[in-house]
Amino acid sequence: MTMRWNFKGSKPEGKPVATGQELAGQAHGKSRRLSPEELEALGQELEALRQEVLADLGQRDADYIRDIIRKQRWAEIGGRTLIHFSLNPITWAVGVGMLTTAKILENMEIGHNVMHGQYDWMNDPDLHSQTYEWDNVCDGDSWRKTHNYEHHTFTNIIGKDRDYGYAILRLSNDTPWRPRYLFQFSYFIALSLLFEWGVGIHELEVEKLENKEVTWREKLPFIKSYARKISKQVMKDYVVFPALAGPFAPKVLLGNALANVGRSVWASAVIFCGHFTEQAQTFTEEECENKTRGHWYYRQLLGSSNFTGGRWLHIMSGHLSYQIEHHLYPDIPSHRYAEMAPRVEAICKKYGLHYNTGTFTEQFSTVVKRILRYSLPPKLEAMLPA
Amino acid sequence: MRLVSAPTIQSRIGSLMFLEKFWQRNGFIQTYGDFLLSEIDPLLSPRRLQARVVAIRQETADAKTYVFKPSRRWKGFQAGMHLQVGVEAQGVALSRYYSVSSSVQQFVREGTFSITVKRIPQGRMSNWLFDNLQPEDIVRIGQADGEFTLEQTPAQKVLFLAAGSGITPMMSMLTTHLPQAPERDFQLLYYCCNPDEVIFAQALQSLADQYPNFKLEVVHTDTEGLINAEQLASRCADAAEREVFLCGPGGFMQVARELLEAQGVTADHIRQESFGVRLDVNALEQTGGEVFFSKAGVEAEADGSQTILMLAESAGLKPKYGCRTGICHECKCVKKSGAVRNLLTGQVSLAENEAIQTCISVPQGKVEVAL
Ligand SMILES: Cc1cc2nc3c(=O)[nH]c(=O)nc-3n(C[C@H](O)[C@H](O)[C@H](O)COP(=O)(O)OP(=O)(O)OC[C@H]3O[C@@H](n4cnc5c(N)ncnc54)[C@H](O)[C@@H]3O)c2cc1C
Ligand code: FES
Repeated sequence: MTMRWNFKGSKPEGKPVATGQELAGQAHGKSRRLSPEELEALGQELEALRQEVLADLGQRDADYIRDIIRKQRWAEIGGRTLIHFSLNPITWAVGVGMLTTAKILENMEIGHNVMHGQYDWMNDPDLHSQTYEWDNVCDGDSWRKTHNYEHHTFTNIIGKDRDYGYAILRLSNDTPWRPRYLFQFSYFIALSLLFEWGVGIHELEVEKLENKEVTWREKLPFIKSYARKISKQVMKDYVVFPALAGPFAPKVLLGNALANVGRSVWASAVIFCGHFTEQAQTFTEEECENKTRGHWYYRQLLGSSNFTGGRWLHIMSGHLSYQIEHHLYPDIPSHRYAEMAPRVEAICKKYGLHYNTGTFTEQFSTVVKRILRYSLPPKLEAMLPA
Repeated sequence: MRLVSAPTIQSRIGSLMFLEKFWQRNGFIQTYGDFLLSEIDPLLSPRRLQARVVAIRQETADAKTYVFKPSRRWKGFQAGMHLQVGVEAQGVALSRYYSVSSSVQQFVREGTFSITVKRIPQGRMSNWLFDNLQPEDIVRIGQADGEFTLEQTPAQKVLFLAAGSGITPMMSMLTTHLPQAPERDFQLLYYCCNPDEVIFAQALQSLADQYPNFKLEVVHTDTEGLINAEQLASRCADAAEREVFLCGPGGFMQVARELLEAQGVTADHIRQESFGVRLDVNALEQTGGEVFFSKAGVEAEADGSQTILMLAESAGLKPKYGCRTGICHECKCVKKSGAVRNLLTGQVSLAENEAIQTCISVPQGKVEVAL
């Protein structure tokens, strides 16, 4: 079964749509060009792997996620208790560490993955993608729209995937240069620290409000739900829990704030390693129009990058360390990615496609380089060594 | 006489209704409070209604009784009621309805009740229960519900007409009411293939020995033939004077109804509990065709032996359902086009964009449903 990939809501453009023949011909970075037949075959192989794992889902996967949830809950309870009743800075710091860990687990390995529908097959209302609400200022429904739909459908298509640079950063020459990009490294730092707030406000589409593509009025429902979610989160971490500690409110407030910031920094680092590394490819709207499922798989493969590490590094990154597998199979339980990765890599090899992976440090340093590099105007950038 | 199982528990729950509502909301206190309580004992969960398996008894080769100790939030039952029981099979939540098969007195005394399950060939839930459920395991339960109870009628003379696993609600009613209602006259006519298949054979016999107002008749259909007019008349001549409680396979109930009505029992004196439908492929003409599940974008080939719900499940979808027998309407969805036959009424729905109950709808040719 071939699925046509259509852009809902994309404006009809005057340009003639290029044929599949022409487009498949373009090479991307270190990856070979694929003929339409090869794209089709690639899609089929990746789809076969997906079906194989889907058919095998069972108790092991249910037990896995329940076990993680249990650990996360105990870490959260332990962390908050320690922050509350700590008698010295050390126990307080341990509490903050535990709460940060719990928050990272909840957002990355549980919330993000549950909201992708990875556990919908279990029929458990507590683990249902459409109703799960995570511990994050970003409202669940808004996330499902901007992330699950927009980012995962239009991955790395410049102008369609608003996650590509978050409309703040310039990460390739496809985005026209402006003087403000000279300072983009500081935006990157700010974005990392306040990542959850940035993700939360993403749906506002500030850049479209600026050039009047959308009106504030149209954004009112979103603003309302965002405000509701913010007040819930702020009440919990910055009002109720500190207030419960009475005179010790400041240390609880600070502990909670640190845990939230710690999670933001980690989450943004992991996500940046997933799409903005040196070899992560971008695509144009034209080359993706009316494409098959095979082409979608191809784009997911080339637009994502992995990093290696131990079991807990993978768990703490919500298995986004397997960003390639996650993008190919966003609705397969994340802990399966580790088993699927060698097979995906073998398929890549067979088709001459680059499987982008490296250690966390290696990958992250290419992200930093990329941010610095594209802060320069194209003329200067071209003079830098590749 | 109105027999309420546990008045104390019930009134306490009533006054704490607002707490129930509070716990059902989504929030930090609810999530973590529920988590901590469940870690101590799953039965303490204020959000999920659960029960612990305290004993399992083999009744016949293919029937087992599971004794449950429910959470204190379970409100109890009236004899003859059923409840939803949920388990996790290979990671997937499965649930089916089962009638309570034990007495109210046992629940009041020991805080336990039981269900009795017959293994259905290829049945997902019944086989899972048989092969996997162990003492100490936790199952999800729903509150008991139903109108198949003696509380619904003032009748003094009662006929229980049961076949196979249909004995379960009767067993609960007999064990509950015999000790309390010496003035009522009970008769049980129980159809089973052969002596090996008689569920509760011993317990029924000792009830019959103990209570003079209870008459027990077991019919072995392998040797005595299926239910028929003569047999019914000879075993229970005064059926027309009785309130009839009917429970068994669909085909049995249909025939029994017709025979009873022929014997002068009016429809308003026949109460029945339907356990589900066994599909008879031959009874349906013009079946088969493709079913397209439009939301999932998946197509399934139908051969007329499966309902839309079953087809959707075997295509990997997880549609909502409850009773799977056309009672609760949990499985309702919109049929966009095509014809389906309602197994309960036999009616064929042709209209576009009509709501159907997937659990009792069989496709008649090409169908598209919004699932
Ligand atoms: C109100 C109510 C009370 C019930 N009480 C009891 C009870 O006390 N004891 C008990 O054993 N069951 C009872 N049932 C039936 C029970 O809910 C399940 O339907 C039954 O256990 C089969 O489920 P399954 O998952 O094993 O089969 P499924 O996987 O759902 O079905 C497999 C096959 O069996 C057929 N089938 C389904 N149900 C039946 C049935 N009842 N008889 C014959 N064929 C069937 C289906 O058409 C299908 O072809 C009750 C049902 C209802 C609605
Ligand atoms: S599941 Fe109850 S009516 Fe269909």
